[in-house]
Amino acid sequence: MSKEEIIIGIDLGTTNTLVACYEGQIPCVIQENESRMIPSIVTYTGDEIFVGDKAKQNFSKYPETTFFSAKRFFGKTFAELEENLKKMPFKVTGDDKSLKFVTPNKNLSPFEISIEVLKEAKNRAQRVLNDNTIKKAVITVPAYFDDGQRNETKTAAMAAGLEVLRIINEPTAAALAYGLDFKKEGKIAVYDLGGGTFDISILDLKDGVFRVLSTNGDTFLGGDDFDTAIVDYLLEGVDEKRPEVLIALKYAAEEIKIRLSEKDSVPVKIDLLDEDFYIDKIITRDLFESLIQKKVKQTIRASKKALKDAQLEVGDISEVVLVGGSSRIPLVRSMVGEFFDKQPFIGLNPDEVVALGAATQARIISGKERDLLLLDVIPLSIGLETLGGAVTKVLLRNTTIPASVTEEFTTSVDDQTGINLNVYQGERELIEDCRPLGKFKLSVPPMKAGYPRVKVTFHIDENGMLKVDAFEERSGQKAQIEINPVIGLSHAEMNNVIKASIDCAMDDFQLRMIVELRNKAERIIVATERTYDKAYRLMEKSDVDEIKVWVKKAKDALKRHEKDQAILEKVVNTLGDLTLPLADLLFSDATKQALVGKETTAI
Amino acid sequence: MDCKSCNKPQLTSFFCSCCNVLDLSFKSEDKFETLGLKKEYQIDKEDFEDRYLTLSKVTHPDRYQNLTEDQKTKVLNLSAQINGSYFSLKNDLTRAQLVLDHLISGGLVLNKKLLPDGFLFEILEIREEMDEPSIDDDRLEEIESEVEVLRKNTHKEIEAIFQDLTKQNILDIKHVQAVQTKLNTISYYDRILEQIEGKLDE
Repeated sequence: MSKEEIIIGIDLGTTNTLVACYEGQIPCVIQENESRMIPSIVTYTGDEIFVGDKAKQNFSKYPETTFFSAKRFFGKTFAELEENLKKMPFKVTGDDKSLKFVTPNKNLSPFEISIEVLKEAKNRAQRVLNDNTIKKAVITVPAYFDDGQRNETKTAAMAAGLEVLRIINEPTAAALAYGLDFKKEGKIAVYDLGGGTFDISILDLKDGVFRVLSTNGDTFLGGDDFDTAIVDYLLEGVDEKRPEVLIALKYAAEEIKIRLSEKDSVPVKIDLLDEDFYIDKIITRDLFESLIQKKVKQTIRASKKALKDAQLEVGDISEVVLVGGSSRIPLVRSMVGEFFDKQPFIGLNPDEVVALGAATQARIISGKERDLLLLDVIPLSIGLETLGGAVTKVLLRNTTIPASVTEEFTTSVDDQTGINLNVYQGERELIEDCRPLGKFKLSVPPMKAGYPRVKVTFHIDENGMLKVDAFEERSGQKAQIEINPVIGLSHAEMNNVIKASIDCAMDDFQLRMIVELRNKAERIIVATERTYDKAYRLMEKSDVDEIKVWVKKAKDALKRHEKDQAILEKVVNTLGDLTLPLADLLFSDATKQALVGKETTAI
Repeated sequence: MDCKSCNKPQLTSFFCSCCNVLDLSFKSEDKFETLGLKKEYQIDKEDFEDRYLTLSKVTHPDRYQNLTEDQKTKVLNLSAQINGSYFSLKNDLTRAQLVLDHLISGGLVLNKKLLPDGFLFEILEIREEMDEPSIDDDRLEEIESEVEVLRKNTHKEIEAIFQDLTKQNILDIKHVQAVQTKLNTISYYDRILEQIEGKLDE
């Protein structure tokens, strides 16, 4: 415990994944052999799994089983994306409730592909920092990700052996990294156009509090679409379906796009001799811009909405920050600059700023950064299905989190024992235009119709994730609730993914439990010993002595490297019970420590 | 309310900013009480923002590590309660409605559904034009800005009535009813604006 615990920040990107942590007072990207980014690409050869650069280098050998941009497919269904999937070199299957990637051994959900990328991020941190205990992480997601997509991200991280301390929004993370840099006050707009997703967030910076006022975006708009536009242009009039050609063109398009940020035109000569394929064209920047203009306009429209939701005018914005690789495109820069009527600010590397912000949030959570606080929002309204397929909103978009709201329900028939509730996310009025988050059933004790009073509370926690609990007032019963996602995997299936990935041999599992118990024991010992002085003041002497006896027992167990799970559990649980009253007594002291800033006393 | 230990007025009934004592188990449906404000329409915007930031800083879950599950839940609930109260009271119109609701619970008899004469007819006309299949985006945007102006003016009128009420310092039922009626019209405007936005998105 003496060594300082490292918490990493991970930016799980559509195209590239970065991992960062603090070195002294500065957040840094963890780089290995000159490489700062892990391409979010995974190849399944049948025997082996390649991740990152290795997958990218070998794509021509395994064009059909090399998967990229998996993040774009989180929470989506096959039916929704069918048109977009036709030009993909890899095979995708599914229906109107799911979407799976076809790998040699089995079909995988998109987030299961990301497990491999996250594992690599964790392993890289462990290798470079030479610390194989690293597992705690803050992970970023697009602000416009819905509850289902956030859950998939979290599950992927857990399956990769990470302990997810927090899920935070990418533009907010970016603002955090920038805010540290210019320590300013005022309202800033963060325009984040990445490989697959677009977010715009409006923030208010004041007294070290980063408050998100509004956010908007599109989880299916990014650099990938610009690449596709180029591929479509190159293939005009040709019906090309060979995966090896499609994947080669995809990478070529990416390269062309990047070059067009510097040059006015790029000659394209692609000659796949053995594939009987030949292209000789010149792509000018003008042409490229005309291909992508419509998409960029969509981002401006979203920016307009975000501004309106924040109840601000363009003139109120003091700074516009550009984030994400696609924000390097000159057309994007000029259109954003024109809309906000000011030169966008590009101080930090747009590819890295999100990961750096994630590392900063990790530091805030660990208690080392007491001058900063993030107040984030939910991107989309949450509502319930009511009569006639309409959606009644219970939590509005841009509500600051944590948030909670309570609604009351009752029965319509005598002795009805269940109430079905369907939860949706989105802004539209009808269920078919919103995203189903889950169905759940309330169990109610049998009573006369209209008699039960079931209070259902929707909680959004600090990660932006939904939890629901219910309470029947008349009987005082807690109602049973289980939410089952409509799209993608059920909770049970998700748990199976996690279990399967965490090297599921029983021995391993037990070992992990023992390690966790030992860590827990260590934490309690350190925490308890620190408070002996106060404990004597606040508790009976005999109670403190009892605690001391068990602290000694716990120390002895650790010293002899106790491997018996039952013994460790006994020690940890007893100590936990004994110190519980002490923890409460000490709590008011602890809240004092939690206060920040001198200005609080001034009020 | 005064703090038990320092005898100075507390920022809210669960938090003394002077001695930094926080009562995590505080629970109230009353949004004014949660932020330590009087149940009045008029608020000092700056004080209001400062209160919110101060309370956020002491209750946000990020501020706490190593809590027991029970304490974690309490912090989360309190933090959500503060966010909810801030969100409602920041909005002039929900704040106005909460003040009226308070008066009603105090015994004031108010017709909560009253609308101005002929108002529903006006709304119906706007609706009809909106729902016409041949309508284009430009016209929709025009209607949108017309309704926005109507809404803004009504908002100003409400503001003015409250100013009068404060000056007179008496509860004039006619004025209070006028506020309620205007608030009712605004909910109709909001519904139309929401629907226009939906149509424009399509």
